[in-house]
Formats: sequence, C-alpha cells, structure tokens
Amino acid sequence: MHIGVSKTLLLWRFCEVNEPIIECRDLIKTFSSSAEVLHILDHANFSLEKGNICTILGPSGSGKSTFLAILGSLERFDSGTVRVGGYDLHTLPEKSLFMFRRNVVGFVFQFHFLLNDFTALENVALPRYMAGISRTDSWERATRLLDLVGLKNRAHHYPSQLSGGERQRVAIARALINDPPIVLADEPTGNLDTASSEEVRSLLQRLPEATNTTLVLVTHDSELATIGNISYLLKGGNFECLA
Amino acid sequence: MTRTADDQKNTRFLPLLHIAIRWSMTKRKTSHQTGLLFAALGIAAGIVALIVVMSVMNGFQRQYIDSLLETTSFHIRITPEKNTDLPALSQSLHQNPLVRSVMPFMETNLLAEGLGNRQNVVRVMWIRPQDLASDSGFCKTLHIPASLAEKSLESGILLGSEAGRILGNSEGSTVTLRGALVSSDEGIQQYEIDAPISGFFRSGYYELDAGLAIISREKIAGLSLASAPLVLGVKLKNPEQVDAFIKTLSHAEGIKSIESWRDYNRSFFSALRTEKIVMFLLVSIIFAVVAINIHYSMRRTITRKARDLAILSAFGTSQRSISTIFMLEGLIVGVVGAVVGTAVGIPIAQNVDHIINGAITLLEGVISLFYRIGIVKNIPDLRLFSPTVFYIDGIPSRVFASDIALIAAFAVIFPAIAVYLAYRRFKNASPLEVLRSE
Repeated sequence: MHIGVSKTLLLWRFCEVNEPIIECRDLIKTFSSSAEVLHILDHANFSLEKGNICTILGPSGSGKSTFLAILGSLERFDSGTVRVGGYDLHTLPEKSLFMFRRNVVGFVFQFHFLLNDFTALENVALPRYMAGISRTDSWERATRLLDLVGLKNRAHHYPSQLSGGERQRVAIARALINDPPIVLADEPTGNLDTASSEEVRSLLQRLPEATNTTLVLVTHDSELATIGNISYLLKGGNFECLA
Repeated sequence: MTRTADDQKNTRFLPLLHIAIRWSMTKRKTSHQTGLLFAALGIAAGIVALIVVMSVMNGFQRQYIDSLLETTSFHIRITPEKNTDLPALSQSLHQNPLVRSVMPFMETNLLAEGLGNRQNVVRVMWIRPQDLASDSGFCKTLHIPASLAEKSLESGILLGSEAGRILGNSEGSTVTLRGALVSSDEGIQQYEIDAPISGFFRSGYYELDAGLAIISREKIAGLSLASAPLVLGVKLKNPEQVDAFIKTLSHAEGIKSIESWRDYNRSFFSALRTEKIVMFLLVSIIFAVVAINIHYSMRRTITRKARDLAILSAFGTSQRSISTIFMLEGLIVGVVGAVVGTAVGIPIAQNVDHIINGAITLLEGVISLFYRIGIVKNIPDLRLFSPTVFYIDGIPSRVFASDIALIAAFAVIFPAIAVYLAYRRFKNASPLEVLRSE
C-alpha cells in the first residue's frame, strides 16, 4: 500500500502484505445517558483483507454507522484494539487523527456533504490540495476521478446544480482523491431514487478494481448489499459473518 | 506519489487562502457576505475617521512645533565658551552646508509692567536688528516683514499682540521690563528697562503672542545684563538632520554645549506624544466596535458553516488549518477595509480644509437661497473658525506614513483576532456530531 509520507506518519508502520487491512479485537463502544448505558459494540471482533468489498448489515441502531465512524477515527471507542491500514487507532494522538483521515480512509456518507460554495471539481480536489499537493496535480486528479464517476462534463457545476445521484458520485470521487487504501461508505444510496442508486451501486462495485481500494459498506439496500464479497451482520454488539 | 514535508509546507497556505477567498467572495449572495461587506465598510469608515483626526491633530501640532522652531527654540542652540570669537564661530557655522541661518541672541524672562501697573511675564529675546534679515523664518512666523521688524527694533520693543492686550499697552506707549541678575561676585542685581513699544506681532499662537517680546541687544549696552552669555540659534535646511549636523561639530572649538530642538523641547514633545496616543486609542474604539460586530457576525457564520467545517475535518483538514481559514477571512475583511479606508482617508485628510470650506460655501448658498425665498430671516456666520472667536483661520493637516501604517495594521489585526475568538467556540466540536445533526 502506498500512503502519503509525513513526519508523523513515517513513525508508524505500514500494513504488511498478509496482514488484514482492518482488524478489530474486543472492541467496546458504549453510549451513556443519565438513564442507561447502551452497549453498541460489545467485545466485537472484525477482520478484513485488502481489496475486498465488505458489506455490513444490521437493524437500525445496531451500531453500523458508529463502527464505520470508529474505523474512520471520527469516533473514539472505549476499549479494544482497532488497527486500520496498519495504524493502531487507540495509540494515535488526537492531533494526528486528521492525517489518518486524510491519507488512510475516504468517506462516503448517506448525505453527500459537498461544500455548497465550491464546484464539483473543487469539492473533489480540495482534500488533496489541503493535504499539501500542488493545485495543478490536485485539479488534474480530481478531473480524472470525475471522469471515472462519469461527471467530467459537470465539473464546474455547483452541488445545487447537480442531481442527487450526481452529488453522491462527486462524493465518491472526493473520497478517492487522496488515494486512500480504504473507502468507508455509510448508506451511500440511502437518499437516492432507484435509478441513481443503480448508478452508485455500479460505481462502487467497480471501485476496488479501478482504484486499488478496500471498500467497507454499511447499507440497508438489499441490492447494494449484493456487491460485497464479504458480508457481516452486526447484531447485539458483535459481528456475525454471513458470507 | 510521495509527498515530502517541504511540499506540504510550501503549499499549505494557498489552499487555505483559496477557501477563505471563496467563502468571502462566493458568487452566491449570502448573509455572511453581506455581514463581511458591512464589516469591511465599518473598518474603512474607522480608518477614514482615524486618518482624518490624526492628520488634523498632526497639522495643529506640527504647525505649532514649526512656529516654536522658527522663533524661540531654533533647531540647534549652541552655547559658546566664554572667550570664544563669536563672529568667527558664527561665520564657520554659516559655511556648513546643512545650515540655513545662525542668529546670536540672549534670552531672559522678565516681568513686564504696562499701563495701570498691569503685569505679565514675558520671554525677552535680545537680538541684533540686522540679524533678522538673515533669518527669514523668524519674521515670517511672527507675520511681520523683516525690514519693518528691523526698523521697529531700532526704535523700541516688538511685543506680542496678546501681551500688549494684557498689559493694556498700545503702539508708542512704554512698557517697563524688570529682572534680576545673580552673580557670585556682586550678588543679586535688579535692573529695569523702559522700552517704547514700536510694534506688535501676531503669530497666530497664543503662547508666543502672549509671552514673547523682542528687543535690540543695543538696549542693554551699559547694563550688567550685557555681560550675560549669548546663544547661537542655528536653523538647518532640514530640521531632521540635527544629529548629522551635531556630528560635524564634534571637533569644533569654542563650543560649550549643544542642544537640539528635540532635547530643548523634550517635555513638550512628550506631552504632545501622550496626547496623540490617547487620541489614537480613543478613536481606535471604532475598530473595537467593528471587531465586536465581526466577532458576533462570525459566530453566527461559524454556526451556519458548522457543516462545512465538519466536512473539511472529516476529510483530513486539521483544526489549525480550519482556524487559519477563518483568520484569513478576517484578514481579508481587514485588508479590504484598510485599502478602501486608506484610499479614501488620505485625500480627505490632505484636503480637509478645502472640503469643509466647500461644504460651508454650499451650505451658505443654500441658506442664502432660503433667505431670498423668505424661509429664513437672516444669514448666520457659518465659518468654522470665526476670527472674532478663534485664533486660527483654517484646519491644518499633515499625513504621516507611519501613522497610516499603524492605523492600517490595527484595522487588519482587530478583525483577525475577532474572527479567531469567534472560531474558538467551534474548535472542540466533533465533526461526526455535526454531520449526524445534518
């Protein structure tokens, strides 16, 4: 795997060839309120090899999105071990998490979350440009990715000028801009109509091969769930391998 | 692709600036933009006010300082040794290319007594009438032709107009000057001189007009005062070159002491500086008000932009970079305000007298029109400085680059700090929480 080099990241070791790209052991995550303590992940174990498409299924509130947020370092966990792309998230200092999010994972959310004041091209290019890569390189790569998702001709349109499916495809292109080894997609078709969902599904299916990434997909969409070669069911705070 | 730390450092600032500019100047009309526009206009208005106020203040101060330097202070005061050949020293100073004029004089503080025993303390400068011709600035500041002053000194004393009023004297009447000399040999010696007033001068500065008298040195011939030491009052072509001039005198003989205008007027200048700083701080309150407005406007903006900030954070932008984006946005507001304010403020400050006179003329025209129509019954005197009340006939103004730079710096820094403080509230917000709430 090839990840952007920085002073901080150099200190951490990269994922070895045969090592799972994602590995969780005894993962515990609870949400506390004054009334009760909710065990979302209870000694959960999870492992995924590089290059796979993994779908995570489960009932609403089972903790699928929380798990994805933990993998993307957007959420802290209570205890256990979480290794993503070779990095132990428990030991990563808070101030370095942005480097991890920038270089190791790419997010696709249920809602596109594009920046409304920027064009599709800028939305895709900015995470790379912000990472210190030159403007020319960032814009070139963003153009290639927009081409990959079939939106090259919509590059200079603002999110408000795009359809729901197009916005989500821009969001997918943005998730890939920094060549992350892992893409985390949380209900990417949850807000889309059938035609748009099909476009996104087809795109996500091609993703690992086209971009050399590993895809972790949380979905309720039974059609979308079929693109995964590995499926987990998250139930009662733990994972059950379906296939 | 390999990214080096240097690559990242070199290009880190530009993307942040890119976002800050796009957020500030997006084509879509937003209330955020309107807020920023008003903030920039507020800063521009503050700068215009500060530049005009400071320039007018500088104008009054510099005019007064210039009048002092041309009359009582001089640029350099040289006290010669006791037995120095004064004409020779004066001649050698004259030959210095930095020197504009040299005037030997003596000064004493005396009690002047006028009509009806009215008294006033005056600073009396004892000079040779013929020296006035070589120092054009002296007579020019006192608003009296050199030839007339020379003639007046030959026949009597030249007195400030206010001093004449205080003493109740008119031209041709006599004023009595009383003083004392203290010497170790002869103790305290009182002396008294009756001098006819041969003319009055009106410089436009109360301190000079009420407290200065000029008299010919020949009037003290025969008095013990005649033995008092003379001072050489030197004026330079450029008063800022005093240090360079003093350096040229390092090997000169016959000089007891040298005092520059800065040293001679030190306490007065420090009072002026204090006055200027206090005025600057008072007018700077405008910036504080604008900064508070920006602060609250940005707090609203940041709340609205929480989603965008969370997105940037989720895609690997550090909190530091996000805070820099907002700081840059504040700086853009400050810079735009500073540029507009400076561009408008400098011409106004340089022409403040013309602008006010123009406005008064316009107003007078309107009032006289109303008078003709019969709306108003009389035409009031609208002159800002009526000569019957005020001592000045116009508003002086001096624009100093250093003041402009300081004002502009304040204008740029205040909003940046205001924006940063506004952002601090968001700093610890979790991007996931924000995105979930969307």
